[in-house]
Amino acid sequence: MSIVIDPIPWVEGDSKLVINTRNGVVSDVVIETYSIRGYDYFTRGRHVELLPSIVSSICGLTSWSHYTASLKALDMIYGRKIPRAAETLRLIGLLIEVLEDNMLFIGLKNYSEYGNESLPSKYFELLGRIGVLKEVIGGRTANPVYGLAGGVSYPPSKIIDKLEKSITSIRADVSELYTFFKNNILDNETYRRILSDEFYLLPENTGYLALISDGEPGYYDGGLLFSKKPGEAIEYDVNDYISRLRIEHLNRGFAKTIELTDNTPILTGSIARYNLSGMRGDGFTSEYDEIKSIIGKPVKSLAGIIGVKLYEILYVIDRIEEIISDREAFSGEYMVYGGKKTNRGIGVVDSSRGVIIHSYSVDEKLVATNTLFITPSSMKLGFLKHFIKEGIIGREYSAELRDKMIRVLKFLNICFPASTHMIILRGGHV
Amino acid sequence: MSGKPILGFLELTGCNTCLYTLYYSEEMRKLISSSEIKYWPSIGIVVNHGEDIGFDAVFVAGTVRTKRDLEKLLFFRRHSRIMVAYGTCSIYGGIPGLSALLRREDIIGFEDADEKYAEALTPTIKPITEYVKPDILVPGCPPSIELINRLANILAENISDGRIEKPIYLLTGENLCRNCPRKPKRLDKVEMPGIRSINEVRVEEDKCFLEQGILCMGPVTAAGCGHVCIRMNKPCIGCYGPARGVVDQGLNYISSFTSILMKSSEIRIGHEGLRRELDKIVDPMGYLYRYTLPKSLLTKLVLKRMGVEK
Repeated sequence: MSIVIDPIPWVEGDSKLVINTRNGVVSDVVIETYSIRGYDYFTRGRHVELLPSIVSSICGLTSWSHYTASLKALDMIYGRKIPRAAETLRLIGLLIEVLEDNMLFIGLKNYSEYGNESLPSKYFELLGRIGVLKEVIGGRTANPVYGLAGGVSYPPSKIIDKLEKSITSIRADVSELYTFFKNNILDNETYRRILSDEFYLLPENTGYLALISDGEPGYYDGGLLFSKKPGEAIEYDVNDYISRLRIEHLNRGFAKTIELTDNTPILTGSIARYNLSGMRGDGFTSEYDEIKSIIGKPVKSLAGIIGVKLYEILYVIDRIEEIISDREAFSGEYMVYGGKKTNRGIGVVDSSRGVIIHSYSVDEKLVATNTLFITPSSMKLGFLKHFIKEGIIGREYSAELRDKMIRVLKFLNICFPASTHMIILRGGHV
Repeated sequence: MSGKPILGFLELTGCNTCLYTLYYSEEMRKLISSSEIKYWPSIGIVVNHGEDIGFDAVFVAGTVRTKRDLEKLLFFRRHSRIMVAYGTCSIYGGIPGLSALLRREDIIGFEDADEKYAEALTPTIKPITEYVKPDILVPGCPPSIELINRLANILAENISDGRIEKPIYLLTGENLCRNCPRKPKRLDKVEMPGIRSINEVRVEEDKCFLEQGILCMGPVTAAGCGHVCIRMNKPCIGCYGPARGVVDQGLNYISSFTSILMKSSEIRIGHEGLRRELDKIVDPMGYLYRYTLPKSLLTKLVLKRMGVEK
């Protein structure tokens, strides 16, 4: 018998889930997605300076992150070390996106399963405030336009007052919404049951991947840290990391899965950052402790993702406030010119959904000859494949099992279009 | 219409971020909160594709790349009173449209894979406007908050009637240069001194980009963004699509900027000199058709030659 879920709800991109059973037992699980756009093909032949504006739309909800990863690859190709003020502004852009995407995840994507009342108007007002702030910083609310190879296009000091004012209001909204989500989700019986359900336990061999800088999430910068156990992290050189990846396609369609060659499933994103770093700001101290007492640290269940995302929202606010308290960080040069050009550039950022790697090769005219995009969703699909194999195949089928599986997809926050790539990677990227 | 308006959010091939940006607008938040959402898969609201729901308005983001996209689009057109083509992808093809000149086998990249992979795709990528007639067209990648406010007001006025007689294009169609804050005083004196890259020269903040040798799509692009790129000290990249009267954004742009390129030294440098300058645009498709390739005359011609289109 086949159970078909079409489309898969809660995930981005048109996709279909087929659960095959034999004698009432799950024998196979197939995920299909065909939302291919061809980024790794049509970006070749493009002048590399156009790539940030093109690749930002690989994932709409992390467009700022793809844009920034691309800018970092450009900085390297142009041989430029960007000034502090530009780096600060790029980091702020990333943090605001993390705040927003986490807020969307908790509110629009998860709240309805636990809360009895509608989402408060304050929630939507906050999204509106974030949108206005994004226009101030990046020009457009998604797919920003403020970057250049070697910096940003305007002096960051120009927007510091607006930024400060806006963050003060956002902080007030977030404080109010924290109480709402804590009461309605984290303290909710259904959530607590899910949180303690063994089904969602993270496999013991899960590897966590994040950008970490001085023991805290780096988002824009830091070492590419990988760990199977807290306290035993190894730091990868990004080239070394790429060379250890195995890229395959999910059973049907164009979704690509990425695992390490030693079969370690990779979990990247908020849980990885939370488990691998201190992640603690100076503002929301009692709230941090409250969440930690519910989900634990390190988090051991995939269901902990809701608590972690709420925790990270608070952390990001604290982090932005800390950054803007140093107004000097926004002043001075914001763009450098010149530099010795190279024919390869790599940009890495840690987005709300996890580590993004863009790697470009260019010719002497700076035309892209090869492009590689490693997205968090591809890594999470590798994780999902492992999860299905170990935790679902062979179980007795029930509607409850089906719902749990869909919930796993929701917790992983997968963007199928961002994970769709060519079947055969011509040119041998990796 | 009785009761709350019923809304649907259709996510076709694309990044679909536009749909989430609707919440940035206060007017749109009011409209959504007084309506009922009956379809938006990525926030968990799905219907069976065959289910008969009379949608008062459906917002469509993305392009048609798969046969499933096309089936869904046609289904929702049949079942929605007002269809909003929302975002540049849906109207002109947008960034994913850069694959318009590639064979679908190239995008898939397969040589030996099962034919069914290619069969899942439409022969080429096209915006929804090639298949259906939307009632409201809202360009932008994504549309600005101001534009979303305007859209919300139009919907609020028309949703209870349930029909829009004549398609509404949300922009005036004027080009971006008309009210550009960097508009030169003497248009007849504008000259491009050569072709330069925004990443290689420090630009003067109040001066027209073209006068600084930077390719700026303003002359052929519809205004409506609020000059965001220009205000960010960046040239226009054409994301709102062609201005009124522009048939092909790339071709019209070539015609426009070549008429002012090094015009005072044209006789001295001759055709060869101009050609050398134009050769600096090593990726014309990326610069000139970044958001509108599937709608271009160039694509129509190439697809005809490839036998993809008649």
